[in-house]
Amino acid sequence: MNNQNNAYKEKFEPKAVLVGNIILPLSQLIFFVPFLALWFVYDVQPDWPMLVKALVPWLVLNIPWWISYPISYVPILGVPGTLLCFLSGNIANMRIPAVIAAQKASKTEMGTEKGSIMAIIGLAMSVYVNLIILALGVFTGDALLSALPPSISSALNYLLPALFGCILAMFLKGNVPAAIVSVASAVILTLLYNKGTFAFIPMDVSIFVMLIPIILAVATAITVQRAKNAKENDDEAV
Amino acid sequence: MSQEVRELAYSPILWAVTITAISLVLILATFYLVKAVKVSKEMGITQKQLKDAAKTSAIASIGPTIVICVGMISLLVMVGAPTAWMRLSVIGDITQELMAVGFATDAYGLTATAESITPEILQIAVFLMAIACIGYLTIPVFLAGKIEVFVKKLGSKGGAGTTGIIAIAAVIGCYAYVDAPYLIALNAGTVAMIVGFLAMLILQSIQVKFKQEWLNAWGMIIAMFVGMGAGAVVA
Repeated sequence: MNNQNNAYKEKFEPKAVLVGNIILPLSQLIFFVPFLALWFVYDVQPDWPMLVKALVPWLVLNIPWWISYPISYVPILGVPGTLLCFLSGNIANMRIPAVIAAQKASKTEMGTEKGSIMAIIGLAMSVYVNLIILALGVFTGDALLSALPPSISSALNYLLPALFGCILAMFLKGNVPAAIVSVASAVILTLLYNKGTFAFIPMDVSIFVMLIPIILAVATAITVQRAKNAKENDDEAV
Repeated sequence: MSQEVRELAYSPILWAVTITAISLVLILATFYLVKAVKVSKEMGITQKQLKDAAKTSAIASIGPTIVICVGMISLLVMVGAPTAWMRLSVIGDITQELMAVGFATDAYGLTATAESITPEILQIAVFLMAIACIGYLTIPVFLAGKIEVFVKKLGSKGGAGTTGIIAIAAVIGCYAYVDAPYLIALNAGTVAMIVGFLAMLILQSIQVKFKQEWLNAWGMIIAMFVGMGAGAVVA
C-alpha cells in the first residue's frame, strides 16, 4: 500500500500539478489575445464606457462561481483532475460523467488514488472525443448537423437531463440520506430562487443555491458514516 | 453577421489563438494521460482496467459532445468559428459563452443576434469571455491544493473511508443542484431525467443480481439513451 501511495504522491501528483500550474495561467494570457488583436492589429478601439457597463454585472455574476466551483469539484477530482477539468470546460455535462464512466468501468472508487488515476484517463478521453467532434462541427458548419434526422436532433434535447438523472442513481446505493437531503434542498432553493424570494438580498445568491445542497450532502454523509463507525466500534467492543 | 465583423471573427490571429489554446489542452491531457498510464503499473492497476476506463469514458463522451456541437452553431453564427470552437473545447460551456455575448449586446440595448454584432460588441464579448476564465484558470492554481488539504482533514476526522464518502457526497450534491430545475419544470425534460434515473437503478440491480459485469461499464450509456428516448416520446 505504501509503494502504491508513493507512486501516486511522488511520481504523478507533483509533476502533474506543476505542469498544470504553468499551463493554466499561460492559457489565461492567451485568452486575452483576441481582445488585444482586435484593438492593436485590426484597429477596433475599445468602447470603454460600454465595456465597463457590460463588465460590472458580468463580474458580479461570475466571482461567486470562481470560489464555488473549485470547492465543489476538488473533492471529486483531486488537484490534477481539477486543473485539467477546469482547462477543458464543460464540467457537469461531460467531464464528470466521463470520470464516473472510467471509474465504474475500472471498478475503482472516487476519492482514492486509483480513482484519481482513472479520473485522468476519463478526462483525457473526453478531451480527445470533444475535440474531434467539435472540429468536425466547425469545419462542416451546420451541414453535418442538419444531416441528422429531425427526430434525432429534437431527441438530443433530452440527452443531458437523462444523463444527469442516471448519475444521481449511480451514487444512490449507500447514500440515500445524503441524496434525499440534497435533492430536497436543491428543489426548495431553486423554487424560491426562481420565485424571487431572495430578491431583497443585494447580491446574486445563485452560488448558495449550488453550494447548500453540496454542503448538506457532505454533512449528511459524514454524519451517517460516523454513526456507522461508532456502531462498528461498539460491536467490536462487545 | 456583417462582412466587417466576419473578417474580424475569422481573422488569422483568432484562428491562431484557437489552435494555440486547443494545443495547450491537448498537451496537458496527453501529459497527464502518459504520466497516469506510467504510474498505474506501480499502483497495481491492470492493463484491462485502463482499457475499460478509456473505452467507456470515450463512448460516454460522444452523446454530450454532440449536444455541445449542436449548441455551438448558435454561438458560431454570432462570434465566428474560431472563437466558438475555442470556447467550447477549452474552459467554456455554451451557456456561459452565450451569456457573454448577451451581456455585450445588452450594454448597447440590443439583443444578441448574428445581425446585432458589431466589431465593438465582438471585442467586448471576447474580453468578457477572457475575464470569466480568471476564476477557472488562475484561482484553482492557488486554491485547489488548500481545498484538498481541508477535505483530507475533514476526512481524517470522520474515520475510515470518509474522504471517499465526501467525494461521492459532493457528486450527489452537485447533481442534485443540476437536476432540480428539471424536476421543477414538469415537462419532457423531467420525464427524461426520471426515466434515466430509474433505468440506471434497474440496470444496477440486474448487474448485481445476474452478475452481468459488462453493465458496470455500459449501464450509464444505456440508461442515458433510454431516458433520452422517453423524453423524446412524451415531448
